[in-house]
Amino acid sequence: MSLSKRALLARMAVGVGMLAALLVVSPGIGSQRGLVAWSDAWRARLGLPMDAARLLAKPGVDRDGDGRVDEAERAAYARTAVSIGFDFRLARSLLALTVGATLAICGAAFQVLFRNPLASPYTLGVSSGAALGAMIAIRLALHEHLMGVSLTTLPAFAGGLAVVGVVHLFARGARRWTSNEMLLSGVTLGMFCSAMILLLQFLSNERLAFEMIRWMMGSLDTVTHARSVSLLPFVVPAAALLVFLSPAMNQYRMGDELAVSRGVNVRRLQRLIVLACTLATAAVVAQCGPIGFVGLIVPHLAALVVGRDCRVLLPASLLGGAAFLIACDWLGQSAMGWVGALTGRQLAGSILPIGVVTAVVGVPMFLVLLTRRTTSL
Amino acid sequence: MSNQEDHGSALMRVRSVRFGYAPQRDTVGPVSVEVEARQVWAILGANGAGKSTLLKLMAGLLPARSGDIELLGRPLNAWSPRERARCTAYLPQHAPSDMPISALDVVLLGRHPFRALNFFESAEDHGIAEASLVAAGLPGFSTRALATLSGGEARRVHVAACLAQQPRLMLLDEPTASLDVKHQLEILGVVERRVREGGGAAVIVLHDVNLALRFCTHALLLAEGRVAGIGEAGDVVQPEVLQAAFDMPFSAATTQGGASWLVPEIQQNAEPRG
Repeated sequence: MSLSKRALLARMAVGVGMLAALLVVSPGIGSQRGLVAWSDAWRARLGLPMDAARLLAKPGVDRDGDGRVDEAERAAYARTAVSIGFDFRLARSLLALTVGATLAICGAAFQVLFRNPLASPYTLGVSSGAALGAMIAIRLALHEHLMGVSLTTLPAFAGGLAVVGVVHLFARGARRWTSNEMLLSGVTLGMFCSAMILLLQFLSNERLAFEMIRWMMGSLDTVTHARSVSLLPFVVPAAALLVFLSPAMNQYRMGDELAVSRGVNVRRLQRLIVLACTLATAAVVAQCGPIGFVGLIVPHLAALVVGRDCRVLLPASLLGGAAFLIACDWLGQSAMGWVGALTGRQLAGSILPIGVVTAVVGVPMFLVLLTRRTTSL
Repeated sequence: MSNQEDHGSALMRVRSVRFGYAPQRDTVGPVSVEVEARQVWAILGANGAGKSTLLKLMAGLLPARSGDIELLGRPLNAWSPRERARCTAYLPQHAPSDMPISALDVVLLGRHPFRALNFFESAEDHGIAEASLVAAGLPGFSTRALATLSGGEARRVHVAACLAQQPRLMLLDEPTASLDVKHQLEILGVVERRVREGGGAAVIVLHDVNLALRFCTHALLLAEGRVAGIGEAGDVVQPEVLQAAFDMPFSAATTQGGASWLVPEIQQNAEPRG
């Protein structure tokens, strides 16, 4: 493919720069925007002086009501600003970055693997298996933490791996592993898991059932950076492996026979893609629930911008997915505030579930893409 | 690749190879053939005679049931896929033609086995790819999307990718399919010239026995998977040999230019249609 090192690095630098810009402003975006703007958060974090008049205008800063901001009030505000801006908002954005990047690059890889534009990271049933694992944990009321890992996360991760393992068992043997058979067995097992989830919800009381439904909507709620950090051991190697495999994936797109004749080990390529995507996706879903549409839509959006050369498409999906989910999360945090302003009610505190936002944003985008899809370059 | 020198002149040696898709039944075989440098082989035969299967066996895409195949004196299955890809290029009968990918990018994929770090292609790769497009009769097609090309043009793009791979042995499954007469001659001319000048060899599955006669030094005629004729093209492409394999009579005709041409005898006593 016509791609020079310089062109790739230049494009990636632009993408990384845009993502970095998102992260720079992210401490200022979320609910309670009036209290902590991004400049306030950074000033507080870096210990820069803050404008007294500006601070005075913010609600709750002038605690003793004497019309001045004294040193204690200034320090208290700085603590609040750092806490809201970095421990809450930036941590959330970093989690959204990790999750969105993972889902999008895995989605792009699966669309190549199955040679199917409708494939997503969930196609082999990872999300359904993870959901079933999490539902069982919730049903059994496992709220403990084991060595810092929530006991909902572990069964979810195991469930995701188990479903793909079963699909893989079916795919073994002497017969060729065609992508359609893989796809169908994954979809079927996913349906089975969904039925089991419904059964579990039916057998649960209202409180547990609501907890289950809430889990299924996906969530980026976080109070520390630990959640995104715990994903990194799965996500970083998987993304690196996928990018490393991208030249072989370009060959694979042209069909098995051409790929083999050009020195690609097709069976190994398929297995490595499934392995990398399954581990990374299962880790993400176990932490945040099955957040939909990122892995389906972002690769298509990325392909519109950078083309379908996997060497560019995979990194571009990674960056695009990160940006997409950060933006959707901001929307989810702000949307209820806007609705509240329109209806005159106090709704600013609540946050829309991220899975709902990605679907609401993603579905129209995808339908537009479908109708405008062209076969030219 | 020092072991390339001690195998005599045979690029590929096929010894009593058998293969079958269904158990107990052989689709191909036993077939034995030796492809030497500067030879252009045609694989001829009726539909379902096992031509493409034999070519896939030679390309290492299918495992032989029995017998063995050697490439440059070394068993084919002892080669790593990448090493093998540096010596042989394969054109499948059905290569994708409806993808949003530029013609140059398709051809550059043929350079894949030679990339050191396997990630970026060099200026040399670009030069080879452009030259291959020109050789395949597609100058100025670099930026055209494969999906917007005609069937014959897309076919030639894939042939160009095989040329760009610069193989010792070219294995082409119907490179002339869906090409017009002029481009059939041009493409086979390019392959023949590449073999004659480069010292490699080519094995080509063909349907047109006359093209085999024009461009190939040798021919292998298959009938129901078995060898019905093998040897120099002029000896195999003969009316009586072809008649047995295709189950229809052929006769030789001479054109005004003096070229010998084989034509099927069409039964004139058939009922007129309508």
